[in-house]
Amino acid sequence: MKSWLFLAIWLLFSAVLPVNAEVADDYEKELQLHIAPTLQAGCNNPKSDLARVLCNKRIRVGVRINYQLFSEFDGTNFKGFEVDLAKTIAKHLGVQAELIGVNPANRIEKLKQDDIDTIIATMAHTVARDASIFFVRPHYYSSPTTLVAAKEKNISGWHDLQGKTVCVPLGNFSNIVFSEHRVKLLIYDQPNRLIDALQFGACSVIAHDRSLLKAEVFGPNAPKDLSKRFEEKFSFDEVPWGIGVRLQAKDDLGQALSFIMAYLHQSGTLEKLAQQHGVEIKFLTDQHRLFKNTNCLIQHQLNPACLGEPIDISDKPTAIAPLVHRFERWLSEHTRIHLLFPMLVGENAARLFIIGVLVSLLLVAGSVVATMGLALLFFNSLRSKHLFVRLLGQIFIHFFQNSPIVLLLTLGYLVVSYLTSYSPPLAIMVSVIVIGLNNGANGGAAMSEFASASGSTAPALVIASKTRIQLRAAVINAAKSSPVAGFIGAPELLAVLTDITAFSGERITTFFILIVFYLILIQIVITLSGHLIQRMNKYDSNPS
Amino acid sequence: MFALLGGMLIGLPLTWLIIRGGLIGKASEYLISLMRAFPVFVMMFVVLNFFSDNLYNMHATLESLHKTTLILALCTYSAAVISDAAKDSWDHFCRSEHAETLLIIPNLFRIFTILVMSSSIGAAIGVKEAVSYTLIHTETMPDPLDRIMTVLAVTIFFMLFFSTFRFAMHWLVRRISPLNPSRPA
Repeated sequence: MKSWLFLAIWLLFSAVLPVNAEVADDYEKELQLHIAPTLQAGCNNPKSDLARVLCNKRIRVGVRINYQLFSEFDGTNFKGFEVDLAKTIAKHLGVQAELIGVNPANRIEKLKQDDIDTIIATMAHTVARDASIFFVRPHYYSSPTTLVAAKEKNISGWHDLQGKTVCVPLGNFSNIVFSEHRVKLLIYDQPNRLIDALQFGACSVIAHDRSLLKAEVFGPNAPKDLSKRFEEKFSFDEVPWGIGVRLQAKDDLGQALSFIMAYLHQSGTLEKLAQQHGVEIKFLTDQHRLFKNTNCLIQHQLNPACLGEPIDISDKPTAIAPLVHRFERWLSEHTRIHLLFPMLVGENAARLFIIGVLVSLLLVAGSVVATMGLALLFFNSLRSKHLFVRLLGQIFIHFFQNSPIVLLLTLGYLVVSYLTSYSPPLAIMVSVIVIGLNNGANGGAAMSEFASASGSTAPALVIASKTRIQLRAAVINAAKSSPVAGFIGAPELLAVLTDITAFSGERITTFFILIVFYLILIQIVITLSGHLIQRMNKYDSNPS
Repeated sequence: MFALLGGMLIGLPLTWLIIRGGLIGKASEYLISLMRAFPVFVMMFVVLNFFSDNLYNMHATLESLHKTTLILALCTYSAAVISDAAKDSWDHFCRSEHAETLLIIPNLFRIFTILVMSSSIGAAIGVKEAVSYTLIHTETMPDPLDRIMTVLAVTIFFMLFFSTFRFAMHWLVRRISPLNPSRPA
C-alpha cells in the first residue's frame, strides 16, 4: 500500500516538476531571445540602456544605504535583500553590479540624470511615479504601512489616533492618509532615527513599512528590549515595491528585467533571498505560487493577470498645477534652483494649505482679541468690591501667568474632550481661549500694578490706555504663541505644512513659506499695535 | 540655562553693534527685530527640519539632537530680549542711573524664568522634560478624569514654582532700588 502511495506521489511530482522547470527555462529563453539582437548589434555605438549595460559589462544599481535588512552600507560593503537581488539580476545579464547609494529624495533624479541604470531602493510603485519612470513588473516586494506603539497603549484604529502625534518617514506617500485622518505628524528623514525616537520616548507612535518595523522592533527576531515593550497596532495600504528604469528603457532594459523577475519568482529565488535576510516573505510566497502554477507567459510577453497593479493615492492635480510645474521647470533651468510647490499642485495639499492659512489668521486675530478682553476681565476682577472675586482673580492670574502654555493647552484639550467630542473647530476655540488667558493674565496684572502704583480709580479702558506698552507686549506674545495651537490638533499653518512635507518630501519651499508667513503676520501685529500706541500717545499729549 | 547663555553670546555682541551705530548697527537692529518677531515654536520645527542632518552627525543620540534643537530655537528669543535688556541697561548707564543699570540682573532672571516655562514646547518634538513626561504618563491612564487631575496637579506645581521665581525677582528689584540715591528713603 505504502509503495503504491509513494509511486502515485512520485508520478504526480514528475508530472508537475518538468512543467515548472520548463516554465523557468521559458523565462530564461525569453530573456536570451530578448537580449540577443542587442548583443548582435555590437558595441560600437550602444544606443539603448540595455546595450550600454551589456557592452560596459556593468549595471549601475541605485540602492539604499541605511535601510535595515534591505540595503545597508557599512563603510565598505553593501548588504541586504535588495543588494543580493541586484547582484542576482546582474548575474543573469552576465554583467557586474555596481552599487550606488541613493535615498528617497534623489533616487529618481539620479536615474533620470543617468547616474544609475536602475533603482532597487525600497521604492513604492504608485500611479504618480509612472509618469516619471518605468516600473518593472512583476514587483519584487510588497509591504503595508504599520503603526507601532507601546503595548499598554490602546490603539486599534484611526479613531484612537485623534489628536496624537505619529512619527513618520519623510516623503512617504502614505503620510497623506494620516493627514486625511487629522493625525499630527512629526517627520524623520531616516528610518533608524525613527526607531531611536520610539526607543527614547521622543515618539509614542511610529509608522513605517511593516517589514522594517517587524524586523527591528516587534518581530520575533527584533531586539528583545524593543519587542518586549512595543507591538504592532494596525496596518494599512499594502503597497508594491518595484525596480525602476528610465521611461525610454522600458522596452529594452525594462523588458529584460521583467523576464528575470518572473524567473526569480517562479524559481523561488527571491523567497530564499528574503529568508536569508530575515525579510517577511508572505508576498514572495504568493508570487512564487502564482508564477509556479499559472501560465504567466503568453506569446513572448508576460501575462498582465500575473502582474500587480500600482497603488493610486496621488493627489488630484489642481487647475493651476500645469502652470506651477512649468514655473518649477523654468526656475530649475534658468536659476539652477530646484524648488517644488506641492501645496499648489495637489488638490488635497492645496485645500490643507488654504485651511492652514485661514486658521492661522483666525488664531492670531482670536488670540489678540481674547488677550485684550481677558486682560480687562482680570483687571476688573481685581478691582471688584467682593473679596471672593478679588481672591479668585488673583489665583487665576497667578495660575495662567505662571503655567507653561503647553500644559494649559493640554488641560483645555482634556477638559473639552471629556465634555464633548473633539474636533478641529473646538481645538481652535480652546487654543484662542487658553492663549488669551495666558497672555491676558499678564496684561491684567500689568494694569492692576499700574492702578495700585498710581492710586488711580479710572475706568478699565483708561487704565488700559495708560498701560498700552505692556498690553501691546501681551498682544504680540499672544500672536507669537498661536502656532502652539497645532499641539492640540488645530490645523494651523505649521501643522498643515508639516503634513504636506511629510507626504511630498519637499521641505525647503514649505518651511520657507512658513517662515515668511509668520514673519509678515507678526510684523503686521507689531506695526498695527505700534500705530495704535502712537495715536494714543498723541491723544494723551493733545487731548483736544 | 544653555538657551540663556546662547542668547547672551548672540545678543550682547549684536547690542554692541547696535550701540555703535552705522550700517552694521542698523543691520543688527533689523536682525534682532526679526528674532523678536519670529515664533519660537515655529523656529524649533525649522531648526529640526533644516539642520537635523548636521546636528545628528554631531550627536550621539537622537535625544541630545532634540534638546539642541530646542536650545537653538530658544536662543533666537533670548538673544532678542537680552539685547533689549542690555540696550536699556546701557542707556541707564550712560545717564549715570546706576540703580536702573543694575536692573539687568532681575531682567536676566525674568528671561531665565520665561525660557524655563517656554522649554515645555519641546514636548512637541519629543524633548524629555517634566511636561513631556507628564503627557506621556497621562496617555497611559484609561480614565479621562485621572488625566485631567494629573495635568492640573502638574500645572499647579509649575505655577507655584514660577510664582516663587517671580516673587524672588520682585524682591531682588526692591533690594536694588534703595541703591538709587534719588529715591526717597
